[in-house]
Order: sequence, then structure tokens, then C-alpha cells
Amino acid sequence: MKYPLSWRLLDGLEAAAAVLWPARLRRLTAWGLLAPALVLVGVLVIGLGYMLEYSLHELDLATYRLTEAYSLTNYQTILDRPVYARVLGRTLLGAVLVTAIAVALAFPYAYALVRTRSAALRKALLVALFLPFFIGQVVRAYGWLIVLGREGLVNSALAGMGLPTVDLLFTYPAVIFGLVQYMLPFAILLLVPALAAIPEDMELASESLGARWISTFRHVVIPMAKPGLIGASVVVFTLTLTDFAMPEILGGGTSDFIASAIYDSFFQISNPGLGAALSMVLVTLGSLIVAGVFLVAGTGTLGVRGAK
Amino acid sequence: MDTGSSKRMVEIAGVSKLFGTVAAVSDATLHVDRGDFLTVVGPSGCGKTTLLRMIAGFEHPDAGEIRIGGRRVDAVPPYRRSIGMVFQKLALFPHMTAAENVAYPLKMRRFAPAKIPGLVDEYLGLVRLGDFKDRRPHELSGGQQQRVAIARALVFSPDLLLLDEPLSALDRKLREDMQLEFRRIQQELGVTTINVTHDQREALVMSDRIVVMEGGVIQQADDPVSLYRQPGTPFVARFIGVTSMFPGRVTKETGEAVTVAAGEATLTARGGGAVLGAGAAVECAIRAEQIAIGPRDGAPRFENAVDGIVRQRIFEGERMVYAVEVPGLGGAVLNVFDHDPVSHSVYDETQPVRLEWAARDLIAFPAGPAPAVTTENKPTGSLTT
Repeated sequence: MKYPLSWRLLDGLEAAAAVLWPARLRRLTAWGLLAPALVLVGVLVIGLGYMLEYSLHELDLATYRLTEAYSLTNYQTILDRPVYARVLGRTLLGAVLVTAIAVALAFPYAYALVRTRSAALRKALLVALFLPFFIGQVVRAYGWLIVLGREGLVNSALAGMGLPTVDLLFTYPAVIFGLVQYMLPFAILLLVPALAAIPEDMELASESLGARWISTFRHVVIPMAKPGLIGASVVVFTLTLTDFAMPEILGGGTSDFIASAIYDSFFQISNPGLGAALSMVLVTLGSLIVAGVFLVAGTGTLGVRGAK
Repeated sequence: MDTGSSKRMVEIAGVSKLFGTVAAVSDATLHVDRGDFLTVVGPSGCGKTTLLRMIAGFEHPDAGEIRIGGRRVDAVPPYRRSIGMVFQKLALFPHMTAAENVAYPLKMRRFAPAKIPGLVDEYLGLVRLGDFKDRRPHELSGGQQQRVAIARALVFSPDLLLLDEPLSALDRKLREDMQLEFRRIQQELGVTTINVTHDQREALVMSDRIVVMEGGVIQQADDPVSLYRQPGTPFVARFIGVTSMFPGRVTKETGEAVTVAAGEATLTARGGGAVLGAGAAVECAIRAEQIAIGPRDGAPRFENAVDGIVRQRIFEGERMVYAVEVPGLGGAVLNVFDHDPVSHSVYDETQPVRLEWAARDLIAFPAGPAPAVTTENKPTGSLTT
């Protein structure tokens, strides 16, 4: 009996696996496959532990070293200086705005991608979706500098029409604009599977039952897309909350987010204790918000079924 | 139009639909009377679902016109048509309870809010789901989901009910129960219904009228008994019931009856519609239950007799299914049902037998331009279910 080569190769592999990994070890297989991920997360947790440690030591201005004694001084500093509250508030507001705008813009894009009957349009939408991933965030931010700058395309066009030029760069709206543009592909990527999971018959059924498309959207499509909407919101929100490059480059120091403040603490004023404390505040805040969303939305979010 | 148009709920005239260069439906003309249950039956890809989707308004005909209740609906969007539809996969809204699903069309169609709970209860009661109104679809069994879907499609008293093979996913027992249940509800409400299915048995059981489609073309439309007795084309003969086909040539034509030479046999048949002159090539069709099987030395019972050898025997309880090879018919294999396996003799594989049937049961169709692609020559006992 002559079987194809690929079959015989697979049979050989199976035989080898049976020797190297006997059946009684098989229930460990799942843990074995999980191990790399667990190690990675474990290293992160250790790093977080060190950060917590740092944050509890005050900077000794005489030696520029962290003092031995434990104290909450760094956290007190964050509370005392209004600049940190302002940066934090700006970051949170930015994250909320960017999430709302990006998800709102991503929804029609993802819907068109899923529902279009034209293969050409679907390909074009897919290419346009993945193209930005090939261009780094910093490169894109510099691209916006060229377009929006004082001598940039927009202002040249305005001047050409005899209109006064405007300062578009180094403003909060510029940062929000850059972040939305950066987050849009993430939001679309997370919405596409959620929308693809809604059978088209659901929409046709709704229509034949008497609903116009807007009612169908409100009562059928959006409720059924909820897992994707929440998943996309959570990802965009957390990515924005911790973003560094866009506020730094497009904000030019006028609209720093919390990540910039952390960077400055570590590398500008060389106060690792304060930087660590700010990091802990950011991690805690982000975790609480995401946990809150999952609590309210249930475990069905992100399409993870099982616990109902 | 004509005087009978008021009893016509649906009129379809010369409707065609192209997908690219392929005609999914070509020049379909049919009508459904008020209160009738019409089934469109055919193999997958025959255009029956496209026809249904055009009636529902999800597709637009490239030619012809569709009238519902006397009104042309070409420009009417689905949400303005008074049509309840039960989808193949039901399309119940998973985030709504049974009651919310049934209330949905009432809300969308702006029924008075005070009337809605009463109607929902009435229709859930009609499908015997009164106790399950607060369950979500995934908490209901397959049959219960079917019932919610039908209540949802009927609760707003549509002019027309469309069924797009909703029973095809159910197991046999449940499917047969639901066929009767759908029929009961349909007759109770008197709602005009168009059902689409590939299941010929479902078509026979449920319908007032049956339309057989193949290759986008309507082959025949008739009531179930007439359709079964008088198939108009070889395709209908093969598709409805278990029918064996073999080729032949007309040697003599005397009114209704024709004499056919098939292989070495000379048989008497009735013409299937068209006028058949001597020398015409024909396809002969004989139904499995019309053939009597017996020993070769028995007394002749019918006009037609051929000798064969049993190739396969399947016992189905209430009947015995034989596949009999007949060398005298060019080796054609005929399916034979013996509906009395209790008192009749049983013939085993390789046993020689004689097959007999009456002249009126053998139908001679004019052979098509192309030779018949397939003859049903496998034992097909399960095909009928």
C-alpha cells in the first residue's frame, strides 16, 4: 500500500510524538502550550512589582538616589500639584473622545467591508485597512506635521486662496485628530468579525417584519454587534490612554498625556520614584475602567462565550 | 384583468432574474389563490429560492411583474409589503425573548401599543408556546424556535406567508410533526402561503398546489394528486415519487396508447402529453409502486411483463424495496416497491423474477433533444422521506 508522502511523514511525526510525549503526559499539553504566554505575563508582573517598589521611595535631592525609607510622598506630590490632575484629565477626556470618534467612524467602514457584494470594493477596503500598519506611528505623526504645519499643505492652500493661515499643529484637536487616525484600523479590525458574525438574514428578516434600515440598525445590528463594539472601545481606549508619540509630536508639549509626564519624570527630572507612582496611577485607572466595562457588559464581551 | 383576479392573492407573470449571464429564474408565470398553500419544489439551484426572494422584495426581477393582492410590488420595499417570512435558519433575534421577537413586527408596523401584548399572547398561544414567552431563542428547542418564527411571521396578519425551507434542518420525526403543525396553523388562519422546499414528500403532504421547478424554469403546476398521477415532463416524473426510466422507440400509435420497443421488449404505454408518431424516440417512466414482482412462471396479470434478476433488496418494514436488473431492457435497473411484505413472497439477491405492470402506468415522454442524463436506477427507498 503506497500512501502519499505527506501522510507517511505525519504518521512518522505522530509515532515520534508518542515516544517523546506519552499519553499519560497528555493532560499537561495544554499547560505546556500556555507556558510561553504565562512566562511573558509573569515577567511583566515582576516589572510591575518593581515599579510599585520604586514608587514608594522618595527621591533624595542631595544624592539623586531613592531613599531607603518607604513613604507615600510621590503619591502626595501627584495629588498636590494641579499639573498632574490636569494632564490626567486631559488624557482621560482624550481617550473618551478618541474612542467615541474612532468607533463611530469604524462601524460604517467595517459594515461595508463585511456586507459589500463587490469583491473589488472589499479588496480595496482591506488594503486601505492594513496599509497604515506598515507605517509606524512616529512616521505618520511626522506626515501630519508636513501636512498641517505652518508652511504645510493646508496652510499653503489657504494662502493660495488669499485666506489667513491658521495654527493647526501643537493643539489638543491636532492630537485628537492624529490619535483617531491612528486608532481607526484597530477599531475596524475588532468590529469586522463581530459584524461578520451577524447573518445577513437577520437584517432581511427585520426588513420583512416592517423595519426600515435605520430601525434595523438600532434594534438588530447594533445590539448584535455589542461584543465587537465593546471590544473595539476597550482596545482603543486603553491604547489612547497610554499613548506617547501622538501627544508628544502633534501636541508639541502643549497637550501632554500622562505617558509624557511619566517619560519626563524618568528621563528629564530623573525622578524614577515619581515616574513609577504616575505609572501605577495610570495602570490602576486603566484596569479599573476596563474591569468596570466588563462587569457591566458581561463576560460575553469580545465574543468569549461560555459563562453566560 | 379577468373576473377571477380578486381571488388571486399572488400573480407572477413572465418573471426572469439573471445573475451575471446565468438565468436563475426564466419566464416564470404562476398564481396563488387566496388562502391556498402553494409549494415550489425543486433540487437546489433550481431557482425556487430566488423566486421567493423576489416575492419578498429582496431581489428585483429583470423582467416580468409580480402582483400581491392585485397591486404591482416592483417598486415596493420589503418593509412596506405585507409579507411574513420564515427563513431557512429562522433568523430569530438572539438578544430578544420569544415575546419580544413576536412583538417586533407589531412595533415596527406601528400597531397601537395597547394592542401589542394581547396579540403577542394570542399568537404565542396559537403556536402553543404560551409558557415560553420569556425565553431567549437559544433557550428553546429546534421545534420551539420554529414556532416562534412562525408566530413572528403571522402576528401582524400579513397578506402572504413565505416559507424558505424552514423545516430542512430538523430531524425527520420533528420535521413531519412541524409539517402538520404549519398546515394546521395555515388552515386555521386561512393565510395564503408559498413554501419552498427540495423535499418532494413535504410538498405532497402540505400543499394545495405544487409547482415543480428545474433549471430556473417552471416544469409543471398542479394539485398534488394530479401532479403525481400525471407528471408532465420526465423531470417531474423522476423528481416526484420513485420512478425508473428507460429509453424506447414508438412502433405503433393508437389514440391514447402507444406501443414501444425498448431493448428486446415490446411494451404498451400511455403518451405523456405530446403526440407521438411511429418512430419517435421516447423516455419511458414507471413508478416503483406500480410494478408487481412475482415468479417467472406465474399467470400473467398485466399487459406489460419483463424478466429480471434481483440485485438488491431493502426491507423497510411497511414495504420491501427491490432493485431489479432487466437484461431485456438494455440492462436498465428498475425500482420496485412491494407494499405487502407480510403475505407476499420475498425474493433474494440474484433470484430471477418477472416484473409486470399495467399499460396505463407506463408513461412515454418524447425524448428530449439531449439524451437523458440520468435514469433513476439505484434503489432509492430513503429518497421518499
